[in-house]
Amino acid sequence: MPDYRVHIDKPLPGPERIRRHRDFGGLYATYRAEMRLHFWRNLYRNPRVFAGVAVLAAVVLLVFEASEPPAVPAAAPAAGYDTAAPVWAPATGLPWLSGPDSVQMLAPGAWAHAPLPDTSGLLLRLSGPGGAREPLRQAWAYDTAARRWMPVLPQQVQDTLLTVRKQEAPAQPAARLRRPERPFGVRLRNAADFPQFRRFRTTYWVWTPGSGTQDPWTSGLIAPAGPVWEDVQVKDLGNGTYQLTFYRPDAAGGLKATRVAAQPVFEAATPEAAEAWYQQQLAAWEAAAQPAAPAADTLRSVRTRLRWQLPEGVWLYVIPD
Amino acid sequence: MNPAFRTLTDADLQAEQALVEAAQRNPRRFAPLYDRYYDRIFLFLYKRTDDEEISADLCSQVFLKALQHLPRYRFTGAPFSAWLFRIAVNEVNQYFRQAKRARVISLETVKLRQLVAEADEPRSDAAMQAMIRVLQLLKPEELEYIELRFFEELSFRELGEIYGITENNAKVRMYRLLDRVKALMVKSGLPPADEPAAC
Repeated sequence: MPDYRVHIDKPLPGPERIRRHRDFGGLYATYRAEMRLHFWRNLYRNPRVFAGVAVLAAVVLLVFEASEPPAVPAAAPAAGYDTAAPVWAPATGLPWLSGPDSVQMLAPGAWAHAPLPDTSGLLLRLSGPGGAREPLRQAWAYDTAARRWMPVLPQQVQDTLLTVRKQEAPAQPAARLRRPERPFGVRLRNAADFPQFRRFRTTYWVWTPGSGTQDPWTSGLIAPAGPVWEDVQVKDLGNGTYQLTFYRPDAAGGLKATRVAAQPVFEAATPEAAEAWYQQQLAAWEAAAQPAAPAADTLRSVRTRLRWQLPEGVWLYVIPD
Repeated sequence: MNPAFRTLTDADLQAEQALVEAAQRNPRRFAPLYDRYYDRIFLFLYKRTDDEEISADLCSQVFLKALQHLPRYRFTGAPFSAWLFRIAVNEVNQYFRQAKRARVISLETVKLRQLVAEADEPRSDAAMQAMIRVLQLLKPEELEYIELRFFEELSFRELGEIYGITENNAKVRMYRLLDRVKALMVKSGLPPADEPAAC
């Protein structure tokens, strides 16, 4: 039997007492607060909304999977790392290497992809005016399976990239090395008449390119046996450069003056000694100018290193110095 | 139909429906409906809880839920109060389920006499006492039905709206319930009357 309490003709609260509890303003404020919560509750309580959110999340995940969005390395920002630059290179529009056994020159700042058989690829970025000649300092690999950037062994990567760099380097002398100019000496007919030139009698000079004067060797002003001059005036131009003004008789009976900008390079008693010095300089220049012949198996060794170093499906991002 | 039960004319219903539609467009316009029905709902709750503060809390819950679900309200021909009573009945039942307190039956002598008359019993004190005992024998949902009909004076259309049944089903249900009351009255020792009374 149910438990009831029975009241018969018990007085009820009057209108005044009831009005004390009536508060539409408070009710409306509570309603507004509840409705705000109601919206968020509906997100997971309402099956339709929940399914919609789940579908939306799945679509976002699929788009993420398809596009493989770039992930900026957490520890990567270093000097020279441009966060605004793309860290992800699409598969098209890039200077791809033409084949697995060939390399090509990469423009500074360009991205390149080296297709390798056991990895998804090697992604390089080169920067700076020197392009590929700039040393590369740090490398990061993007693991497509783990979806994260990870540092790779710096020494291994540097070795690898330096090896690639040798293949990419053009067969031309280094920019700062210049072919040495052939030195020349100055012989006067009557040296005793020109005491001001006495201190330059055993001096050998080298023409200064870009001085506005002609190379005395190519213009025929100087010959291996050496002409004998009537007069030579020496004027100091500063920076170790002198202006030599050669005078010799012309057909009209006057004197013809020819000016050459040159630098004194060494003292030699005989032309043979000067020639020996020149040959030595030339040999040194040629040795420095000739690029090292790439080994036949360079690229193969690069691939081997990468195969050893990077697992399958890894992109390599290199931060240049 | 017994004239004592509250009814609304068609014009009243249309005017009330206009208020409801205005409140559905803008919840701030719910205030007229709130003011119109607050006292009835409050007293309905008070009679069943016998506590002014609890009644006020439950009443706030009733109107808050009404405001929240107002966009889903559809006019079925019954007064808006029927929808409010439906929410109030659910709130009261939920309250007693959670509080595990004894239910309160608040009876008024006048309305109790009317109920006794509806049960074809003589309006004697003995019949009144027997009816009080019989009401305590009823299940909570049966007692609730009788309370809404005889003490809150709701029409069958409103009862149908509250319980989600048709008006005719509400009448049938009431007749069966009165038959049960009569049987319980006979059991309690009062002889049944000869003539049935209209409900």
